[in-house]
Amino acid sequence: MDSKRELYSRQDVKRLEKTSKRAGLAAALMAAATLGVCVLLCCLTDQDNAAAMEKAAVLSSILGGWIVIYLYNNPVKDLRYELGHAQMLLDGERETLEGVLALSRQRMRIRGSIRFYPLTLTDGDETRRSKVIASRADALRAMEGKRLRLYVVNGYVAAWEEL
Amino acid sequence: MLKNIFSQWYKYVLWALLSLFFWGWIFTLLTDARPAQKLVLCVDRPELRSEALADALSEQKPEGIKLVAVHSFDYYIFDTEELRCADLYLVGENEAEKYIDSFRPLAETGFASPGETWTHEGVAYGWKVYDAQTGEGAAASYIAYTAEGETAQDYYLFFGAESAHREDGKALRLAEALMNLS
Repeated sequence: MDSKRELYSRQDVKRLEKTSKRAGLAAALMAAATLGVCVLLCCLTDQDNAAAMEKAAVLSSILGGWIVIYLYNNPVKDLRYELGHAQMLLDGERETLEGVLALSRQRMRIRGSIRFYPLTLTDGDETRRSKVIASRADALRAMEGKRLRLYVVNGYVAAWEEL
Repeated sequence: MLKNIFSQWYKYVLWALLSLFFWGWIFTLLTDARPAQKLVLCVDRPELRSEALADALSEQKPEGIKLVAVHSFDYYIFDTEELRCADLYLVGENEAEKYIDSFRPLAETGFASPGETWTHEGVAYGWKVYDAQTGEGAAASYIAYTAEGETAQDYYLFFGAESAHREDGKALRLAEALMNLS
Protein backbone atom coordinates (compact mmCIF):
# COMPACT_ATOMS: atom_id res chain seq x y z
CA MET A 1 0.00 0.00 0.00
CA ASP A 2 1.28 3.47 -0.91
CA SER A 3 1.35 5.44 2.35
CA LYS A 4 2.71 8.62 0.73
CA ARG A 5 0.55 11.63 1.58
CA GLU A 6 0.68 14.74 -0.60
CA LEU A 7 0.03 18.12 1.03
CA TYR A 8 -1.64 19.47 -2.12
CA SER A 9 -3.27 17.87 -5.15
CA ARG A 10 -4.06 19.54 -8.48
CA GLN A 11 -7.68 19.69 -7.32
CA ASP A 12 -6.60 21.59 -4.23
CA VAL A 13 -4.87 24.13 -6.47
CA LYS A 14 -8.01 24.58 -8.55
CA ARG A 15 -10.06 25.01 -5.38
CA LEU A 16 -7.57 27.57 -4.08
CA GLU A 17 -7.67 29.46 -7.36
CA LYS A 18 -11.45 29.64 -7.18
CA THR A 19 -11.51 30.74 -3.53
CA SER A 20 -8.76 33.28 -4.11
CA LYS A 21 -10.68 34.80 -7.04
CA ARG A 22 -13.87 34.94 -4.98
CA ALA A 23 -12.11 36.67 -2.07
CA GLY A 24 -10.52 39.18 -4.47
CA LEU A 25 -13.90 39.81 -6.06
CA ALA A 26 -15.52 40.35 -2.64
CA ALA A 27 -12.87 42.96 -1.77
CA ALA A 28 -13.31 44.68 -5.16
CA LEU A 29 -17.11 44.68 -4.79
CA MET A 30 -16.84 46.14 -1.30
CA ALA A 31 -14.54 48.90 -2.61
CA ALA A 32 -16.92 49.62 -5.50
CA ALA A 33 -19.96 49.68 -3.17
CA THR A 34 -18.19 52.09 -0.80
CA LEU A 35 -17.26 54.40 -3.65
CA GLY A 36 -20.80 54.13 -5.01
CA VAL A 37 -22.34 55.16 -1.68
CA CYS A 38 -19.98 58.14 -1.40
CA VAL A 39 -20.68 59.27 -4.97
CA LEU A 40 -24.42 58.94 -4.33
CA LEU A 41 -24.09 61.07 -1.20
CA CYS A 42 -22.22 63.70 -3.25
CA CYS A 43 -25.04 63.70 -5.83
CA LEU A 44 -27.65 64.24 -3.11
CA THR A 45 -25.72 67.11 -1.50
CA ASP A 46 -27.00 70.66 -1.44
CA GLN A 47 -26.10 73.72 0.64
CA ASP A 48 -28.53 72.77 3.43
CA ASN A 49 -27.52 69.14 3.98
CA ALA A 50 -23.83 69.41 3.05
CA ALA A 51 -22.48 68.98 6.59
CA ALA A 52 -24.56 65.84 7.26
CA MET A 53 -23.74 64.38 3.84
CA GLU A 54 -20.02 65.00 4.33
CA LYS A 55 -20.10 63.20 7.69
CA ALA A 56 -21.99 60.27 6.12
CA ALA A 57 -19.52 60.07 3.21
CA VAL A 58 -16.49 60.17 5.51
CA LEU A 59 -18.01 57.50 7.76
CA SER A 60 -18.94 55.24 4.81
CA SER A 61 -15.52 55.70 3.27
CA ILE A 62 -13.70 54.86 6.52
CA LEU A 63 -15.81 51.79 7.35
CA GLY A 64 -15.89 50.46 3.77
CA GLY A 65 -12.16 51.06 3.40
CA TRP A 66 -11.40 49.25 6.65
CA ILE A 67 -13.38 46.21 5.46
CA VAL A 68 -11.51 46.25 2.14
CA ILE A 69 -8.15 46.54 3.92
CA TYR A 70 -9.08 43.63 6.18
CA LEU A 71 -10.28 41.46 3.28
CA TYR A 72 -7.23 42.25 1.21
CA ASN A 73 -4.69 41.76 3.98
CA ASN A 74 -6.11 38.52 5.27
CA PRO A 75 -8.19 36.18 3.09
CA VAL A 76 -7.09 37.58 -0.28
CA LYS A 77 -3.35 37.83 0.30
CA ASP A 78 -3.16 34.61 2.34
CA LEU A 79 -5.01 32.64 -0.33
CA ARG A 80 -2.72 34.01 -3.04
CA TYR A 81 0.37 33.12 -1.03
CA GLU A 82 -0.98 29.62 -0.40
CA LEU A 83 -1.86 29.16 -4.07
CA GLY A 84 1.66 30.13 -5.16
CA HIS A 85 3.11 27.85 -2.52
CA ALA A 86 0.95 24.86 -3.60
CA GLN A 87 1.93 25.35 -7.25
CA MET A 88 5.58 25.51 -6.26
CA LEU A 89 5.27 22.26 -4.27
CA LEU A 90 3.57 20.43 -7.14
CA ASP A 91 5.90 21.66 -9.90
CA GLY A 92 9.23 21.92 -8.05
CA GLU A 93 12.04 19.43 -7.90
CA ARG A 94 11.81 17.21 -4.83
CA GLU A 95 14.44 15.91 -2.48
CA THR A 96 13.87 13.36 0.26
CA LEU A 97 14.76 13.57 3.94
CA GLU A 98 14.38 10.82 6.50
CA GLY A 99 14.35 10.86 10.27
CA VAL A 100 12.31 11.29 13.43
CA LEU A 101 10.01 14.28 13.22
CA ALA A 102 9.95 17.20 15.67
CA LEU A 103 7.57 20.00 14.72
CA SER A 104 7.90 23.43 16.32
CA ARG A 105 4.91 25.00 18.10
CA GLN A 106 5.97 28.46 17.02
CA ARG A 107 4.28 29.62 13.85
CA MET A 108 6.41 31.91 11.72
CA ARG A 109 5.93 34.06 8.68
CA ILE A 110 8.24 35.34 6.01
CA ARG A 111 7.16 38.84 5.02
CA GLY A 112 5.02 38.68 1.89
CA SER A 113 4.72 34.89 2.02
CA ILE A 114 2.99 32.00 3.82
CA ARG A 115 2.83 31.20 7.54
CA PHE A 116 4.74 28.03 8.41
CA TYR A 117 6.04 25.83 11.23
CA PRO A 118 9.74 24.90 11.28
CA LEU A 119 10.49 21.20 11.75
CA THR A 120 13.51 18.96 12.20
CA LEU A 121 14.18 15.36 11.18
CA THR A 122 16.73 13.56 13.33
CA ASP A 123 18.49 10.54 11.87
CA GLY A 124 21.14 9.35 14.31
CA ASP A 125 23.54 12.24 14.78
CA GLU A 126 22.29 14.05 11.72
CA THR A 127 19.57 16.70 12.02
CA ARG A 128 17.88 18.14 8.91
CA ARG A 129 15.67 21.19 8.92
CA SER A 130 12.56 21.90 6.87
CA LYS A 131 9.29 23.83 7.03
CA VAL A 132 5.62 23.01 6.56
CA ILE A 133 2.85 25.45 5.64
CA ALA A 134 0.79 26.23 8.77
CA SER A 135 -2.61 25.61 7.19
CA ARG A 136 -1.65 21.96 6.39
CA ALA A 137 0.50 21.16 9.41
CA ASP A 138 -2.13 19.29 11.46
CA ALA A 139 -1.55 15.90 9.79
CA LEU A 140 2.19 16.17 10.40
CA ARG A 141 1.60 17.27 13.99
CA ALA A 142 -0.03 13.87 14.65
CA MET A 143 3.18 12.17 13.42
CA GLU A 144 5.54 13.85 15.87
CA GLY A 145 8.18 11.46 17.26
CA LYS A 146 7.69 8.98 14.41
CA ARG A 147 10.16 8.14 11.70
CA LEU A 148 9.14 9.70 8.37
CA ARG A 149 10.35 10.27 4.87
CA LEU A 150 9.67 13.84 3.74
CA TYR A 151 9.54 15.02 0.14
CA VAL A 152 10.77 18.58 0.19
CA VAL A 153 10.67 21.35 -2.42
CA ASN A 154 12.80 24.45 -1.78
CA GLY A 155 12.89 23.60 1.92
CA TYR A 156 9.11 23.12 2.28
CA VAL A 157 7.34 19.80 2.84
CA ALA A 158 5.40 18.71 -0.25
CA ALA A 159 4.58 15.13 0.81
CA TRP A 160 5.45 12.62 3.52
CA GLU A 161 5.21 8.97 4.37
CA GLU A 162 5.63 6.99 7.56
CA LEU A 163 8.50 4.51 7.56
CA MET B 1 -8.77 38.38 13.52
CA LEU B 2 -8.15 41.19 16.07
CA LYS B 3 -4.46 40.29 16.16
CA ASN B 4 -4.27 40.72 12.40
CA ILE B 5 -6.03 44.07 12.60
CA PHE B 6 -3.81 45.38 15.41
CA SER B 7 -0.64 44.27 13.65
CA GLN B 8 -1.58 46.48 10.69
CA TRP B 9 -3.14 49.34 12.66
CA TYR B 10 -1.22 52.00 10.74
CA LYS B 11 -3.02 51.09 7.49
CA TYR B 12 -6.41 51.59 9.16
CA VAL B 13 -5.35 54.92 10.72
CA LEU B 14 -3.86 56.14 7.44
CA TRP B 15 -7.04 55.24 5.56
CA ALA B 16 -9.22 57.08 8.11
CA LEU B 17 -7.07 60.23 7.75
CA LEU B 18 -7.08 60.02 3.95
CA SER B 19 -10.87 59.63 3.92
CA LEU B 20 -11.28 62.62 6.18
CA PHE B 21 -9.12 64.91 4.06
CA PHE B 22 -10.26 63.64 0.67
CA TRP B 23 -14.02 63.89 1.31
CA GLY B 24 -13.55 67.19 3.13
CA TRP B 25 -11.89 68.55 0.00
CA ILE B 26 -14.56 67.06 -2.33
CA PHE B 27 -17.42 68.52 -0.28
CA THR B 28 -15.70 71.91 -0.12
CA LEU B 29 -15.59 71.86 -3.94
CA LEU B 30 -19.20 70.66 -4.14
CA THR B 31 -20.66 73.27 -1.84
CA ASP B 32 -18.57 76.18 -3.00
CA ALA B 33 -20.30 78.69 -5.25
CA ARG B 34 -19.07 81.08 -7.95
CA PRO B 35 -18.03 84.50 -6.59
CA ALA B 36 -21.20 86.09 -8.02
CA GLN B 37 -23.32 83.61 -6.04
CA LYS B 38 -21.62 83.85 -2.71
CA LEU B 39 -20.88 86.42 -0.05
CA VAL B 40 -17.74 86.08 2.03
CA LEU B 41 -17.05 87.72 5.37
CA CYS B 42 -13.49 87.54 6.72
CA VAL B 43 -13.06 88.10 10.41
CA ASP B 44 -9.70 88.94 11.92
CA ARG B 45 -10.46 86.99 15.09
CA PRO B 46 -9.56 83.36 15.65
CA GLU B 47 -12.28 82.84 18.26
CA LEU B 48 -15.22 82.69 15.92
CA ARG B 49 -18.30 80.50 15.53
CA SER B 50 -18.01 80.75 11.77
CA GLU B 51 -20.59 78.12 10.78
CA ALA B 52 -23.23 79.42 13.18
CA LEU B 53 -22.63 83.01 12.03
CA ALA B 54 -22.81 81.95 8.36
CA ASP B 55 -26.11 80.15 9.09
CA ALA B 56 -27.52 83.23 10.82
CA LEU B 57 -26.47 85.50 7.95
CA SER B 58 -27.81 83.00 5.40
CA GLU B 59 -31.30 83.55 6.78
CA GLN B 60 -31.12 87.11 5.44
CA LYS B 61 -29.11 86.46 2.30
CA PRO B 62 -30.03 88.52 -0.76
CA GLU B 63 -31.70 86.92 -3.74
CA GLY B 64 -29.32 85.16 -6.12
CA ILE B 65 -26.88 84.31 -3.36
CA LYS B 66 -26.37 80.57 -2.82
CA LEU B 67 -23.74 80.65 -0.13
CA VAL B 68 -22.73 82.87 2.74
CA ALA B 69 -19.29 81.97 4.05
CA VAL B 70 -17.60 83.28 7.19
CA HIS B 71 -13.92 82.59 7.77
CA SER B 72 -11.26 83.82 10.12
CA PHE B 73 -8.11 85.20 8.50
CA ASP B 74 -6.29 81.99 9.52
CA TYR B 75 -8.43 80.11 7.00
CA TYR B 76 -6.57 81.89 4.18
CA ILE B 77 -3.10 81.10 5.38
CA PHE B 78 -2.31 79.32 2.08
CA ASP B 79 -4.50 81.42 -0.20
CA THR B 80 -4.07 85.16 0.23
CA GLU B 81 -5.55 85.79 -3.25
CA GLU B 82 -8.94 84.50 -2.09
CA LEU B 83 -8.64 86.64 1.02
CA ARG B 84 -8.21 89.72 -1.20
CA CYS B 85 -11.47 88.90 -3.00
CA ALA B 86 -13.69 88.74 0.11
CA ASP B 87 -16.79 90.94 0.21
CA LEU B 88 -16.55 92.12 3.80
CA TYR B 89 -13.78 92.30 6.37
CA LEU B 90 -14.05 92.67 10.10
CA VAL B 91 -10.71 94.00 11.33
CA GLY B 92 -9.37 95.60 14.52
CA GLU B 93 -8.36 99.24 14.32
CA ASN B 94 -4.71 98.41 15.07
CA GLU B 95 -4.41 96.06 12.09
CA ALA B 96 -6.64 97.86 9.60
CA GLU B 97 -3.87 99.89 8.00
CA LYS B 98 -2.03 96.72 6.97
CA TYR B 99 -4.94 95.73 4.73
CA ILE B 100 -5.84 99.18 3.39
CA ASP B 101 -5.30 98.08 -0.25
CA SER B 102 -8.05 95.45 0.14
CA PHE B 103 -10.63 97.97 1.40
CA ARG B 104 -13.00 100.17 -0.50
CA PRO B 105 -13.95 103.67 0.68
CA LEU B 106 -17.37 103.70 2.31
CA ALA B 107 -18.48 106.51 0.01
CA GLU B 108 -18.21 104.13 -2.99
CA THR B 109 -20.40 101.51 -1.38
CA GLY B 110 -23.54 103.59 -1.22
CA PHE B 111 -23.47 103.11 2.49
CA ALA B 112 -24.31 106.01 4.76
CA SER B 113 -22.64 105.20 8.06
CA PRO B 114 -24.77 106.06 11.04
CA GLY B 115 -21.86 105.96 13.45
CA GLU B 116 -18.14 106.17 13.89
CA THR B 117 -15.87 105.32 11.01
CA TRP B 118 -12.24 104.34 10.56
CA THR B 119 -10.52 106.81 8.29
CA HIS B 120 -7.27 106.75 6.41
CA GLU B 121 -5.84 109.96 4.92
CA GLY B 122 -9.20 111.62 5.38
CA VAL B 123 -11.19 108.89 3.63
CA ALA B 124 -13.68 106.78 5.59
CA TYR B 125 -13.21 103.05 5.03
CA GLY B 126 -14.53 101.21 8.07
CA TRP B 127 -17.80 101.11 9.92
CA LYS B 128 -17.44 100.61 13.66
CA VAL B 129 -19.04 97.36 14.78
CA TYR B 130 -17.42 96.79 18.15
CA ASP B 131 -16.68 99.32 20.85
CA ALA B 132 -13.87 98.24 23.15
CA GLN B 133 -14.91 100.66 25.92
CA THR B 134 -18.50 99.51 26.26
CA GLY B 135 -17.79 95.92 25.12
CA GLU B 136 -20.80 96.06 22.82
CA GLY B 137 -20.68 94.89 19.26
CA ALA B 138 -22.53 93.33 16.36
CA ALA B 139 -22.81 89.53 16.32
CA ALA B 140 -21.05 89.42 19.67
CA SER B 141 -22.52 86.01 20.42
CA TYR B 142 -20.64 84.63 17.39
CA ILE B 143 -17.38 86.57 17.56
CA ALA B 144 -15.16 86.87 20.63
CA TYR B 145 -13.81 90.39 20.09
CA THR B 146 -11.43 90.18 23.02
CA ALA B 147 -9.57 87.40 24.76
CA GLU B 148 -7.90 87.14 28.12
CA GLY B 149 -4.50 88.82 28.15
CA GLU B 150 -5.26 90.90 25.07
CA THR B 151 -5.69 94.65 24.94
CA ALA B 152 -9.21 95.35 23.73
CA GLN B 153 -9.55 97.36 20.54
CA ASP B 154 -12.39 98.66 18.40
CA TYR B 155 -13.40 96.60 15.39
CA TYR B 156 -14.56 97.95 12.03
CA LEU B 157 -16.38 96.49 9.08
CA PHE B 158 -14.77 97.10 5.68
CA PHE B 159 -16.01 96.51 2.15
CA GLY B 160 -13.72 94.52 -0.16
CA ALA B 161 -12.05 96.40 -3.01
CA GLU B 162 -11.99 93.24 -5.15
CA SER B 163 -15.46 92.04 -4.14
CA ALA B 164 -17.68 90.56 -6.87
CA HIS B 165 -20.56 92.51 -5.32
CA ARG B 166 -19.24 96.05 -5.63
CA GLU B 167 -22.10 97.16 -7.87
CA ASP B 168 -25.12 95.02 -6.93
CA GLY B 169 -25.40 96.13 -3.29
CA LYS B 170 -25.41 92.57 -1.96
CA ALA B 171 -22.31 93.10 0.18
CA LEU B 172 -24.10 96.07 1.72
CA ARG B 173 -27.12 93.87 2.50
CA LEU B 174 -24.83 91.38 4.22
CA ALA B 175 -23.25 94.21 6.23
CA GLU B 176 -26.68 95.34 7.39
CA ALA B 177 -27.64 91.78 8.30
CA LEU B 178 -24.44 91.48 10.36
CA MET B 179 -25.20 94.71 12.21
CA ASN B 180 -28.64 93.40 13.16
CA LEU B 181 -27.21 90.29 14.83
CA SER B 182 -26.66 90.41 18.55
